[in-house]
Amino acid sequence: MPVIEIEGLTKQYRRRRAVTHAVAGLNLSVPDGGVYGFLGPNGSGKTTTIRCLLGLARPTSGRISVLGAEVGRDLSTVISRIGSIVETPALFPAFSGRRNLELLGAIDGIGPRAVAAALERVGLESRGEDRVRTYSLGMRQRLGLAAALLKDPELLILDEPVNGLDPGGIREFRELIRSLGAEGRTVFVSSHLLSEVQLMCDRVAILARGALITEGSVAEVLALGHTAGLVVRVSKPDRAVEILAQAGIAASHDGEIVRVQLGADEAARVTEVLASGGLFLSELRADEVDLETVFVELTEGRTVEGS
Amino acid sequence: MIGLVRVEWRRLTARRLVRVCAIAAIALIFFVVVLTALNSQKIQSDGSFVMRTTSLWLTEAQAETSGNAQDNAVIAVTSLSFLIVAVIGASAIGAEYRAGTVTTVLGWEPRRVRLLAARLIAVALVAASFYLIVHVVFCAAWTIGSVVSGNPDGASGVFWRDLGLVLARGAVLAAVFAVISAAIATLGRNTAAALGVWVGYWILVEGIVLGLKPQWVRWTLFVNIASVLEWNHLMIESPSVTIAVSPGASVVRLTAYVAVFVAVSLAVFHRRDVT
Repeated sequence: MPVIEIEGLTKQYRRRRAVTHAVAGLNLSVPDGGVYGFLGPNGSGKTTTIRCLLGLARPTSGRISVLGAEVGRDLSTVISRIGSIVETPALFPAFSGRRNLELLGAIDGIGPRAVAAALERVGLESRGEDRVRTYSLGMRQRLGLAAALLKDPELLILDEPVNGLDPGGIREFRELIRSLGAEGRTVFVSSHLLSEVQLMCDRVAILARGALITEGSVAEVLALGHTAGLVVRVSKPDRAVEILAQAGIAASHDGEIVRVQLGADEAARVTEVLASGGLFLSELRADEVDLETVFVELTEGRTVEGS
Repeated sequence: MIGLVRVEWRRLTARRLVRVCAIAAIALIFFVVVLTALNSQKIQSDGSFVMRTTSLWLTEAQAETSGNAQDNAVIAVTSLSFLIVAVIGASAIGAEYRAGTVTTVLGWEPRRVRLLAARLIAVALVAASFYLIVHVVFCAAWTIGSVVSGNPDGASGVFWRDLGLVLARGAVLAAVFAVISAAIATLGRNTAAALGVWVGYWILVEGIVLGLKPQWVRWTLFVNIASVLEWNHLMIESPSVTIAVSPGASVVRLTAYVAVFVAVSLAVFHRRDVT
């Protein structure tokens, strides 16, 4: 059974006389377990969708269910099984990290032992007594994650959770997210760091203009990108394209890089053709499609204002 | 619900604003009481000042009976307390919006009416407790001062009972101030907006409107609060009209005002998107 089901979600904002569609008829089904990436350009409706999922924003139309409960009617029955971060985690700046977690935990009857464990899991045990206003953005993100983990949730909904983390912090965070997914939890994570999403997620959905563009496993989505080929670096790329064309091989160049539309198993043929034309390669590699390329191809020109 | 109120109580009492206000109020009380005691004579002679225990709360009738001038030092502390609890009430909600923690807390308790109701109850409890602590400290300090440097005569059992009732009513009224303040802050999503509404109300309604329409005085907040605090029929006299305000009617009006503010704030908080 899907942990998140969204059917025909629409969210409009009216400002003066203008109507903005932040989300326009979104349909999405997130399966149980693993890490699910939710991608989209700025203004594509990711955060609005997450706000609707958590009952923070009221959908204009459509139906949302989380862990089998209708949001807007029964969310309170499952909220103790959901941990969340929406944008930058907001906590009381004048209280210590530990006190913040204790106050939140007390709403659900969670005691200091779980608070200590959550702080330890995100690596904040030594700073738990410090006031949140003294925390860096990265530390606040960690504290937000600790708050989300406090309930030992089945579903984690994380909106841009790696914002503000340094490279080391991003790596640790990625490992943590992967371990949470491997524990059988469902982690629904929105991010604009596509390389991270590719490393972190099992499945992804790509959103643009408030609607779903594609959804599937990372491999399935990557397969939607341009045909993989070979990348060749030579001193005279114009000449290389001509030589390859004379041999019946389609190629194009971008600076010193020549992209050859042949599979990696035909690398030897490319080497032979160029060498016979008097050009010698300084680099030859497979042209791997990454999520960023696919993302740009699928969403180019679809960025909209405000969500 | 009780658990939620308890959490909100913990959060509010841990706030620096509440603690600083309590400490500052108590420090001010000690300063004023000590200064008063230093200026007091044990026995009144011409023009001299005597610090009397009964000056804490002497009604007009009691003043006539005792032959002393009507005096109620508690009124000054009460007015200051109402001002402070109005700030505490507004800030309890406004600070949440400023820090953005409404989103975080709704991730734990998505039933908005329940959450805001718990907050308003906690605000009322904190305001009433604040009022009582400040006044108990004030009354105790004043009594000690009058015993040491003034005149404690006349503080009978009836006096203490009456004073206790005044403080009890004052605590409830402090809660009224704080809850209305918190409800306005919920509507405006801002502490300053709530305080601005109070200032605006004071200038516009209690000042300008009452100047033009003195017969509306029975509907204004401060007259009804005074009537309940003193538990006395107030006769408000102006050149054109004399209005009687009874404490019973004032209780009904104040209850209605609080109910309207709370209901509107709950309805708006329930419907509005949280950003």
